[in-house]
Amino acid sequence: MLEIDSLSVRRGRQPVLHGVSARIAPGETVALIGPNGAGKSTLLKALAGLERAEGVVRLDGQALAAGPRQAIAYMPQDTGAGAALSVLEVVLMGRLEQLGLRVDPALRQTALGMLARLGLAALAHRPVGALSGGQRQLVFLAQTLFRAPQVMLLDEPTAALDLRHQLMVLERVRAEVAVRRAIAIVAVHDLTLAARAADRILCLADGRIIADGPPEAVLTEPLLRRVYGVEAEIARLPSGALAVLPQRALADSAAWSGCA
Amino acid sequence: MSEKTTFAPEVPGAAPGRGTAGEPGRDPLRRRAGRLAVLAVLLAAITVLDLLVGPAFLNVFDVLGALVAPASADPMVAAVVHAIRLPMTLMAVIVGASLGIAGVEMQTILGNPLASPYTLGFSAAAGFGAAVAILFGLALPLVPALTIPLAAFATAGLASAIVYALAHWRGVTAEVMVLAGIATLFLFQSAQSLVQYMAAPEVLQEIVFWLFGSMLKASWFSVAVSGVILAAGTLALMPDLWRLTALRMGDARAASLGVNVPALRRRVFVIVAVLTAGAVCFVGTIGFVGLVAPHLARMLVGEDQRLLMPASGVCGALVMVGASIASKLISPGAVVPVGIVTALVGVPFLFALIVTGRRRYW
Repeated sequence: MLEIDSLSVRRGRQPVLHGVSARIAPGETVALIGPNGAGKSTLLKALAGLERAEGVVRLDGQALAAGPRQAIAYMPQDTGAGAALSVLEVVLMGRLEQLGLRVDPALRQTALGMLARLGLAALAHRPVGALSGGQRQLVFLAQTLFRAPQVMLLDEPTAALDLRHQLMVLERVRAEVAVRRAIAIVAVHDLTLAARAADRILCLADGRIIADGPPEAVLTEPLLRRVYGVEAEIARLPSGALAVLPQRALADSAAWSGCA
Repeated sequence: MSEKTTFAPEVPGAAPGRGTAGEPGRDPLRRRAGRLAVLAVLLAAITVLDLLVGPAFLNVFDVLGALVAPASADPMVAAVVHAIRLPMTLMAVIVGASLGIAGVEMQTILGNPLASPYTLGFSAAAGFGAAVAILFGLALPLVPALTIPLAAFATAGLASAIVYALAHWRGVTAEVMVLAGIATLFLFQSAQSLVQYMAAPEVLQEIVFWLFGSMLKASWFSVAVSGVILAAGTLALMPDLWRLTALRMGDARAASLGVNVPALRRRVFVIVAVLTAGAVCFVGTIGFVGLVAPHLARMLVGEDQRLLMPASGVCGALVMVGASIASKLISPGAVVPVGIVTALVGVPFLFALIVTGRRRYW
């Protein structure tokens, strides 16, 4: 169980997160949505211990100390850095603390196995700079999964991916979470994808959680109007999944300056 | 194609079906380690070659004899080889390796392919310290010969302390350190020019000769001191090699993998400062080795610091010893300061590297 208890973050005097609280059970995949600047990345970094924050984060009842947290793997947005590293090197570094001058062959084999599971085996020795954006994203996902963390925090993992790979990444995350009774919090912009891939949606706006629940409870037309400032239609597909179809942006929306 | 809602996870560009068992493609690690071994052998060979060349025009076999069996060799040859050539050559190896390692780690912690111990003002600061010591004719009691190296070491330390303090104050990021370093470079270059401007002609000549960087200043003492600093610096970097590799993925990713990025940057910065100061304080300013060696090494062995760090040291030593040989051949019977030759050898080399580079190395 991941318990977030009134987590607040400030940048200088500017508050970025205002006392965010939530409880997430093992086996849950949570989509974190919200407009640009809502504090999604900040919340993920604060949970990972990479951002100075007030409040308490507990994992299985244990309050987590500040600083990098072993049980929590955070996957930042791709910046294109590290082009000359090989795919295998990147994945191996998921378990940085276990690497020495000599890399344990068993560990290496596990890393190769993880690449194979994501269909990346043939790329193992290629430099990540030579890959497409989507392939890179998968490589960094492999790194995150290789850590076998209790909690995965993924910041826009599908940003560079085509439709097929968007689904593939999120299904892989969800499967991993279900099998290992882990927790995943995934920041996404695509609401239809969020509805499809997550058990639960947390909606963040202006540093506050303003909705928390199953996709059909959170994704409503009034919420989209209020938070995103868009007129949208929410359709239920024959499969039962929700689809969010934006119609038009509202001109006089308060969505950017903060909602009531 | 039978694709419904399940996914055969495969990636365009990756050959599907291959590589689920075993390992597709050859592991480059072994090949790269092989390259490092070849580089080391090459260095050993060129080091011996450097010992054979010199302004005294000694017979090659006499020199080899003096190296292998000094007791039975001609005393004059043995003296030249042991008192002059050996320290000079070993110093070239040590200085080159120190600058190569300092350069590669500087580039790594600053995330910048243009960073080197030279571009961040350490060498300029060392030059300023030496110039001041020469200008005022400073001499330490008991160990006057150590005055200039100590002055150079101290000012290089001062320059790194300035960069370190600014980074500490403003945040230990690559941007702050690069800016502070470049400001330091200009500061000490100006100070150095001022000292040169104020100096009398004969003193100026001495200052300029120091600034040129020459292995003629080497001695067994300098070999011992710089050698110990090189060994200590290398050992101090060992525990951080994987963290340094991880830093190449960017600060955020390295931090998310548990690397304390500011602490790593501080630690490695201090090691780099000491390595650089240890290398240049005896022999004078040597540019370019610290810039070109890391790029060469990266081309040959990749980003894995377990290979990259030693390879950069070996490449630095190779360039340095190569320049040392060239410095003795340019004008027969004399030794041109090697600091002049490194850039002459290094620049065309770097041009060639830029033009022929087949893939991204940075």
